[in-house]
Amino acid sequence: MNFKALLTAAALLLPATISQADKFPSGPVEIVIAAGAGAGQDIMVRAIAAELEKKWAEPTVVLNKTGGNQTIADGYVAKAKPDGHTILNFGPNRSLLAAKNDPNAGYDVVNGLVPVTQVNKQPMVIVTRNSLGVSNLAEFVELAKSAEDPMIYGDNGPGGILDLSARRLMVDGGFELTEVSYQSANDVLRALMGDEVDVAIVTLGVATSYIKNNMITALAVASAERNAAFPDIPTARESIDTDFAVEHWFGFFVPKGTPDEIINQLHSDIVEVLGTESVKNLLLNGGFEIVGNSPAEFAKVVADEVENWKALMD
Amino acid sequence: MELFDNLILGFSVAGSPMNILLCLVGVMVGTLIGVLPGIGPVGALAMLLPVTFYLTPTGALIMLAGIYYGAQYGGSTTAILVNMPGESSSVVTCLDGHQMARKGRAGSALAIAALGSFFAGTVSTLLIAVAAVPLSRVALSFGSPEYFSLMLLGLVGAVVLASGSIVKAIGMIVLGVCLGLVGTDVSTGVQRFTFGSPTLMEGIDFVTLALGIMGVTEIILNLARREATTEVISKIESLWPSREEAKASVGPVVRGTLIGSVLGLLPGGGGVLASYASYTMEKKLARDPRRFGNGAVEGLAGPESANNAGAQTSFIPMLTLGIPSNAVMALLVGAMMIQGIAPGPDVMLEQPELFWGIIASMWIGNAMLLVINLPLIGLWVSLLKVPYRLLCPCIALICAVGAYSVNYSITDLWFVAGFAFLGYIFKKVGCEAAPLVLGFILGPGLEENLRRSMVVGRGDPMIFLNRPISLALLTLTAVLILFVVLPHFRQSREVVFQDD
Repeated sequence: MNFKALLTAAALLLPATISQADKFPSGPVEIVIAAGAGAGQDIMVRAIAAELEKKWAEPTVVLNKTGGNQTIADGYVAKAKPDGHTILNFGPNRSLLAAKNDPNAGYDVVNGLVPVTQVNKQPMVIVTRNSLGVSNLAEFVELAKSAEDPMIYGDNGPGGILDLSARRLMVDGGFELTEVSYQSANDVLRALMGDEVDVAIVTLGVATSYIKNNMITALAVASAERNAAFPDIPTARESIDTDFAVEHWFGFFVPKGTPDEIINQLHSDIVEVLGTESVKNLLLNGGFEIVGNSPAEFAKVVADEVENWKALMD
Repeated sequence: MELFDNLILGFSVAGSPMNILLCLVGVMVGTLIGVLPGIGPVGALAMLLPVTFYLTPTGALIMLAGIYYGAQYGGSTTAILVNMPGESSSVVTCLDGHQMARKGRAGSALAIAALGSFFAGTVSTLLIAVAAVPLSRVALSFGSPEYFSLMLLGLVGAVVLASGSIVKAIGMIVLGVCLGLVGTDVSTGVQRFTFGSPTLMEGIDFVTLALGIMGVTEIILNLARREATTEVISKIESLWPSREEAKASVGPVVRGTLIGSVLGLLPGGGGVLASYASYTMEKKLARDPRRFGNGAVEGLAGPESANNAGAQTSFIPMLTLGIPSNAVMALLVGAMMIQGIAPGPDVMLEQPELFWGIIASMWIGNAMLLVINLPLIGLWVSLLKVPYRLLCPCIALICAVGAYSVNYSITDLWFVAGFAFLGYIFKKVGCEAAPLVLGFILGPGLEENLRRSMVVGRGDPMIFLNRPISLALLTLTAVLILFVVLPHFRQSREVVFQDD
C-alpha cells in the first residue's frame, strides 16, 4: 500500500521535473567577452546582461576573459557545457575569421561555436589627421602610393578589425602602410590628433564626436552605402575603384551541441532585450544599428565574412 | 563673473537632495572598495553601470565619480594599516605610511592622508573649474615619445624610492620590468614568458603581485617576529598629528597637489606616476632623506595629495574632449551614452548643468570623505589593538578573497603565495618591494612607447630629442641620475681622504 502511494507520488511529480528542465535558464548565466572592463563591448554587453537578468530572474554575469588574442574567451565558451548557460559575445577578428584550426587553441575553432544572433552592426570610417591635408580618399591613395616611407596607420592590436580593415584597404588600393598598435580605438584617435599616425579605420561610433568637432578628417565610410548620420561622407567605393566594404558587428555564440530550442529561445529573449530603452539608447548613441537576426541569418553573415576575408588570412 | 555663475549653477545642481544622496552612496561604496583589496573601482563601476540608467545623467555621473575618488581614500587606509596597497597609486603610501603605523603613529598617518587628500581635492577641483579647456590641451600634447621619456624618468626616480643600496634597487626595478613583460605583446601578439599557460597570456595582474609581495609578505614578517603574535602591531599614541608633523606636511601637500594635478591629466598612466613623483621630490628636498622609509611624514603627505589631485584632474580629458584617460573614465563615458549623451567637446556647452554639477559634486564628495574618514580613524586604529594572532587570519582571508575576485581563478592565489615567498626572501637580503612594483607598472608602458616612437620616427632615435617636452623630461632624467650618483662619489672621496 505504501509502495503504491510512493509510486503514485513519483508519477505525479514527474511532470514537475520535466517542466523544470524546460525552463531556461535554470541557473546563473555567464556571458563571456574578450574585452576588458570599460571597453565599448563591455559596456554594451553589461547593459544587455542587466536586462536579461531582469527578464530571466537568474543571475546573469559578464566575464571578462581578455588575452590570447581573444582566443581565451572563445576557447572558454567552446569548451563549456552546451546548455545555453555560457554565451560568448564576439566580433569579427582574426581568430574568428581565420576559421583555421589553431593547434594551440585546444578546441575546434571552425566548428566549436554556433551563432545565435547578431546584436548590431556599425559602419567603419576611414579617418586621417587634419594636418595631412587630404580631403578625400582618392587624394589619400595618391599620397600613399607616392610616399617614400610608407605612411602609418593605427590599430588597437594586430588581428583586430581595425587592423584587418586597413590591410584590406592596402590590398584593394594598391599601397603600403606601416602598422602601429595602441591599446584601444580611443588611443588611436588621440594619436591621430597628435599627428603621430596618419590614418586609421575605426568604427563610426567612436569617431563621431571627433569628426563633428573637426578634430580629425573623415575621408570615406567603409560600408557599401552612405551613412544617414553623415550624408556628406562618400563611401570608399565611390571614391576609388574598389569593392572595399567592411562592417563591424557583435553577436552572440553558444558552444556546439546546444539544443535548437535553447538557441531559439536565447534568440527571442535577446531580441526582446534589444528593444528595451536602456539598451537601445546605448547602442544607437554608440552609432550602432540594431540587428537581432535569426540564428540561420547570423550563421550566413558569419560565413560570408569568413569568405570575404579569406584572401587576407593566408 | 562667468566662473562664479557657473559654480553657482554647479552647486545648485549638485546640492539637490537626490544628488547629495547619490554622492554619499558613491563615496561610501568607493571607500569600501578601496579598503578591500582586489576589487577596484573599475570592477565596481562596471557592475553598477546598468543601475545608472534609472538615474538622471548628472546623478549617475556624480555617484560613479564618487566611487572612483572614494576608492583613492580607502586604498590609503589599508596601505597605512597593513601594508596592502589597494590601488597602484597606494603603493607609495605603504612605504612611510605603514612605517608610521608600526611606530604607533597610525592615527596621525590616517589623519594626514585624509587632510592632505582633501586639500588636494579642493585645489584640483578649483583648477578644473578655472582651466579645464587649456589643461585638456596639455593632455593632447603627450605623444608616444613623451610618454617614454616620462616613464624613463619615473623608473630612474624609482631608484630614489629605495632607502637602501642603490644596486639592489636597480636590480629590483629590472626584475619588476621583466615581470611586467610577461604576457602578450601589444605590437605583435607574440607571447612572452607565458610558458604556454593561458593564465599568463594576459600577464601578471598588479593586484596579485602587490598583495603577494607587499601585503602577505608583511604578514609573514610579522609572524616571524615572534613577540607580535601575542602583542599588538604597535602601541597607539595620540590619534592626531603632532604640531611638528602638521608643519612638516604643509610643503609636501602643496607640492604633491601640483604634481598630481599635472600628471593626472595625462591619459594612460599619468595618475599612477603622481604619487611616485611626489615621493621622489620630497625625498630629494628633505634635509635628512634617511628618514624616508622609516616613517617620514613628508613621504606620506606628498604622495597622498598627489594621487588624489591626479584622480580629480583625470576627469578633464573625459569631460572636455570625451577622451577617457583610463578604464574608469571609459566606463563613465559608457554611463553617459546609456543616458543618451554623446561625450565630446560639446558637453561643456550644451549640458552646462551636467558639467558644472559634476565639478561641484567633486568638492562635495571630498568634503564628505573627510567627514566620514576622520571619525573612522579611531575605529581603524582600535582594530590594530586586536591581538595579531586573531587579526592576521582575517587579513589573510580578505587578501585571498581579493586576489580571487580579480579573475575568479585559483591560480592567482598560488601566484600570490609565490610572490609572498619571494617578498620574504627579498626582505631578508635587504631588497625592497616598492622599486619592483614600480618597475612592473612602468616597464611595459616604457617598452610599448619606445617601440611605437621608433616606428613613428622611422627608426630615428632623435625623435626623443627633437620634441620639446620629451627633451625636457630626458634632461630631467639625466639630472636625476647625476643627483643619485654624485653623493656616492663624494662619499668615496671622503673615505679616501680619511685613509690618508
